[in-house]
Amino acid sequence: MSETGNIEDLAKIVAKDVFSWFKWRQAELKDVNWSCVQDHHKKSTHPSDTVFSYIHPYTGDRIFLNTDLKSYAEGTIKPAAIRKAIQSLAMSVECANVSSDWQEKYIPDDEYTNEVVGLLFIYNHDNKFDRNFFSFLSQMDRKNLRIAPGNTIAVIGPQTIDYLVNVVNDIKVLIADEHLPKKNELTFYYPDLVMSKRHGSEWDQPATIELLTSPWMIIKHKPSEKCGEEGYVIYYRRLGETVDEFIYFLDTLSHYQLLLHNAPIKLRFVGSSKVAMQNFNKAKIQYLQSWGADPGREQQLNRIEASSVTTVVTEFNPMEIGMRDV
Amino acid sequence: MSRKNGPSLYHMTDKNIFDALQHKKVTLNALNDHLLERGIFLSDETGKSEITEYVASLPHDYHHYQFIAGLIENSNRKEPSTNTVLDVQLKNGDIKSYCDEVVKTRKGSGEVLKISQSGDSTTVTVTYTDVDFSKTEIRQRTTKHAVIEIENNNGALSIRRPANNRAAEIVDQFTNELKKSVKEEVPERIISLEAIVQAEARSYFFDKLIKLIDGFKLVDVKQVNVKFSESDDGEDSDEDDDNGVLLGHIQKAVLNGDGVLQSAEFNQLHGSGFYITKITWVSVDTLPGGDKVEFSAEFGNPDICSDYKYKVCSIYGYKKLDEYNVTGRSPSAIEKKVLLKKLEAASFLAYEKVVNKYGQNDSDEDD
Repeated sequence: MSETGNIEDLAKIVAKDVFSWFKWRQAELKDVNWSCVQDHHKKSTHPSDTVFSYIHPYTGDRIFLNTDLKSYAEGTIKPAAIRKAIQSLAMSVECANVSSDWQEKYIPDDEYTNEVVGLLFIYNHDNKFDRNFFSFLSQMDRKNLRIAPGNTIAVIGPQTIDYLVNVVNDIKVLIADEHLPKKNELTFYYPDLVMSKRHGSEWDQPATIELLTSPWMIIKHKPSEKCGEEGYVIYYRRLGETVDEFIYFLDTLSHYQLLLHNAPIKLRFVGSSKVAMQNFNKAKIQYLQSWGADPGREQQLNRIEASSVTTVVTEFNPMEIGMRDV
Repeated sequence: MSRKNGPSLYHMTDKNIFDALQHKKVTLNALNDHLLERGIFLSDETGKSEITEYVASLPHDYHHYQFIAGLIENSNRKEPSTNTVLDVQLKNGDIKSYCDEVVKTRKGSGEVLKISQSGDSTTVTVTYTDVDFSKTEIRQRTTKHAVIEIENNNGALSIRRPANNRAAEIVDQFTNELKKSVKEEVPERIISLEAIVQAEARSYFFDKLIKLIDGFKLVDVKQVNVKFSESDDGEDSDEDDDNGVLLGHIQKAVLNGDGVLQSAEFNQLHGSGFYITKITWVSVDTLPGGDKVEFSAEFGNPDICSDYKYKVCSIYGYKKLDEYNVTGRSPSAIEKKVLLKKLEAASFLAYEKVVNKYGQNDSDEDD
């Protein structure tokens, strides 16, 4: 798999830096082997590179992400390699859900119902992988991945990592420029759904793994002296090449009741096309027209401040990393 | 028509998505594809209801909505066409101005209408949201396009349109505009066998139609829908007795298979007062290397044989002499245009033959 110690560390640095912003807790223990308890695995131990956890906003369960961090050069990202990694992770997850050794190592208390999910984190350290990761994944033979019933494996590929790095970078810049309050005054926004309601307090909600791979994520922030009233920042991940997608998006915001109060909304395009802004403005007009003249609604729509996120590229020098002793 | 407010695209709640995904057309494979796009893999053994619940709880955007709607929408459902001929001498400019009037009166109905003219042909394209509250919520609103084609053939105006209410309404408005401005009577030609009630005559129409398509040779009839003719009862009492049980229960029947018209069953039904209301047949282009084409024609209202409509179902490409592709494909826009025109012409020819043979009025036919 052409992984070397240094390069694998890259994945660790990226993961650590990024996921804390999504309010994921990282377990103290890293790079641990723990005993396998399933005979059919024919293994004595399974590895865990690192384990993240959060409380799921809708189920109230504690989700553990048993994570396999991979760092590949562009040429070595191959469907077969990923398939193998998923299979191996699937075994770990099946075991982790029942292994007392794993539970002793990673579960701090009995406060919640726990569920272990597998996370395969595929970082491309030379930044050359430019294919659509999911169309690439769809070439992979999906049969017989040996995921045990009830288990879930999530894969985060180079494009999603880039997106997440850019989101985190943007949040940092917004905080630094005092457009957003401090990190702990932000929360990921989960509206009540018809079939699931949000658990616990509105604040301090994590971004679930499902939210990270969704077309948008909504962050709510508290009011602060420097940044003004309570408001929202929405990261929009799609290309934005159609007007219809924004009409749908506006209707979603309306459905979430975000257009009712005069709360400021910052819409941030991440990696969107050049026409996204134009299409968004067209959609605003069409959306207003379809509801008939309503100055209040128009005012609120106009308070949505849309702009593009300046994208950055993470580039680390493997040698440097080696010397940093992570 | 009652829709005044609201966007054509509504946010789908998790419940809407959950309901939509319950549809039997939604396969486990499609759901797993949907999750793959989000980088999520579940066990092969996960059941549909479990996946559905999980998928429904995820945020969905317009592209997901389209994907889900596409799973349950029958995408290659081809809408049948119909046409009307108005015997009137017009200038192309007049046609354009009537169309403009129609566009004006339909402002605010939530449609987008576009008019384009090329030579003697005027096209009105309507983009609208079709609302059907009887469907599951995610399918209640679909964006549709209807193309209405008005051909000016020196003294006859041939109007071709999809056989749906929206297009009918627009054509009606157009015809009204035209009649307002043209002072004399405008004879309107449509195909309807409402006035010709004999079962034999109604079947005769379809029998002629399938043989009269210019440049095509009939190969086979694949399906026939028949309906019992109520107006025929009381006559031919001998036959009634023979088939008493049959006639007592069956009102409609669909016959599927090869060579339906030659089958004993069809002949029996046909002989006992049933008439054809719909037919699907295959003809082959007589040009060397010509394709095989499946057509279909029917009366939208089979009781009275009105609302005539037809479509080109599929094309089976030519392989070599007497051999064609086994699976059909949808006709291209150009093929459709040419073939629909031939179907129309054959329909009018067949109609003429029925009228000539069986006459216009049924009331005094007693023999």
